[in-house]
Amino acid sequence: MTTAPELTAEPTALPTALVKPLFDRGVAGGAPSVPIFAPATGHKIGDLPQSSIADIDRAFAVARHAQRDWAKVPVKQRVEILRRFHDIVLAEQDTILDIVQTETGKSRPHAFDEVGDVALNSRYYAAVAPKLLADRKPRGVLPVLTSVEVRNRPKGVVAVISPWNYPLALSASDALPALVAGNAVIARPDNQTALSALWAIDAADLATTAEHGLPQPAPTTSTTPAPAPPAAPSPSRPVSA
Amino acid sequence: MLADADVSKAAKLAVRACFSSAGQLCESMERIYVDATVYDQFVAEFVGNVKNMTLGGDLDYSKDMGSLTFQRQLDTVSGHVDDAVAKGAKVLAGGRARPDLGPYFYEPTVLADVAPGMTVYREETFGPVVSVYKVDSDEAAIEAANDTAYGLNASVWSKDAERGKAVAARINAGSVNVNEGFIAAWGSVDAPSGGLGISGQGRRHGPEGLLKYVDTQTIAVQRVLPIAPLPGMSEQMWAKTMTLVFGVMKTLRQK
Repeated sequence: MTTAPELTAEPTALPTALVKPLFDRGVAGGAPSVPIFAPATGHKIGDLPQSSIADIDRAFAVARHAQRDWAKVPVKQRVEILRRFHDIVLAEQDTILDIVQTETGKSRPHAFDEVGDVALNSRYYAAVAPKLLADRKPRGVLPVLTSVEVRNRPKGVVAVISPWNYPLALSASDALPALVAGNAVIARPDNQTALSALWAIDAADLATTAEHGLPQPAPTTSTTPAPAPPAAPSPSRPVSA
Repeated sequence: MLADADVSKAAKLAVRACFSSAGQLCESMERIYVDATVYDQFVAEFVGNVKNMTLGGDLDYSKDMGSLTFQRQLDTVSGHVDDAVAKGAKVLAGGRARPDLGPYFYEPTVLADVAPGMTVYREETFGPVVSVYKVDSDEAAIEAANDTAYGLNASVWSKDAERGKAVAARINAGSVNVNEGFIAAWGSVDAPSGGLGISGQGRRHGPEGLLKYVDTQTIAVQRVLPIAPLPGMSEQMWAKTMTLVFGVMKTLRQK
């Protein structure tokens, strides 16, 4: 792909063909969109659609519905999707590195730390999730007479509110364990860096499709997260990286 | 930075530890305490390395550091540096914005002679600014490093890993890297990541990073005998029987 600004009247920071479909993935549009600019150049990235309260309600309704089916998918199958996601992120790293750099202004070596974080977490949780989520048989109050099982139940719908400083690592890597545990995820990235989270959601959809051999699921039918960027125009502060 | 640190290696890796994402990394270094015996060598090499850093917004691997992300970040960074300089701090490297490169670029900055009363002494800048302090002992370094409400990440430098670990255990931070800045602990995703004090909430990575997303459900099945007095047994006899059982179980060290 080309990374040079398009030669239009108003130079854009990333190709519209890349930005537009990702912006369209959000459950948004009910509130006025917000222009987003690339910090390093001042060039416009695009007008990011904003979610209204009704959009957010819709996203949660979709997520709650999708979660019931997703929780029935065996953990062994869920971890294969994580492994596929790992491969996609590494194979398509040139694209996501361009996005992360353009949204944050950071240099490429520092953006690559985020790609590495996502790859490591995908591999790790794919390897350990089956054991961590397996039923446990602890000692009962009366040996032999009391038998006990402990099961791990997903919370349901998990909201991942991610900051702008490590937009790929802190959106995707925190969503991966939530998803592999059988939850649905609502992503609420910072406006400045929503594109990185939307790209990860797109990659997760691709990984899911590849695994199941299903047609590309729309957010309304997806077992992967229904995104809701952004719920409110105020930027969130980074809490951890 | 302990007296037996590999100074050249530390002076090289500290660049990444201080200036990743232009310091907009929650785990990045903003204060470095250096043993007096190696202070001059470390500062000379570190400042030299920082001055050699390349800045730019190129979408390739040609630049060492990029831009800040917002005007408010640039305002904070400029404000913290200007405040320190006005109160007597010395700028060893950087110390200025670079609007010629882009609207929010700021040079990687190293400060010395930072003292209480300056904002950078105890407040987080979240930008490309690091202060170096000379200390006379490990004790002084540990005390100064812990003189903060924050506690996300720290780093200890020593050629003696055991000595480094002993100092690390006394630092109030959720992760402490020995002979690395942040990525040894961050990248070890089998271990939990999160802060102490007012830094961070909860944990990511490790089993903790997954188990926070589930609720446990306990299903207990009782067989043959109930956990209640047997037919014809008084409550008092039941209590005595169970008291005996508890004693036996403890004696056998059963859980």
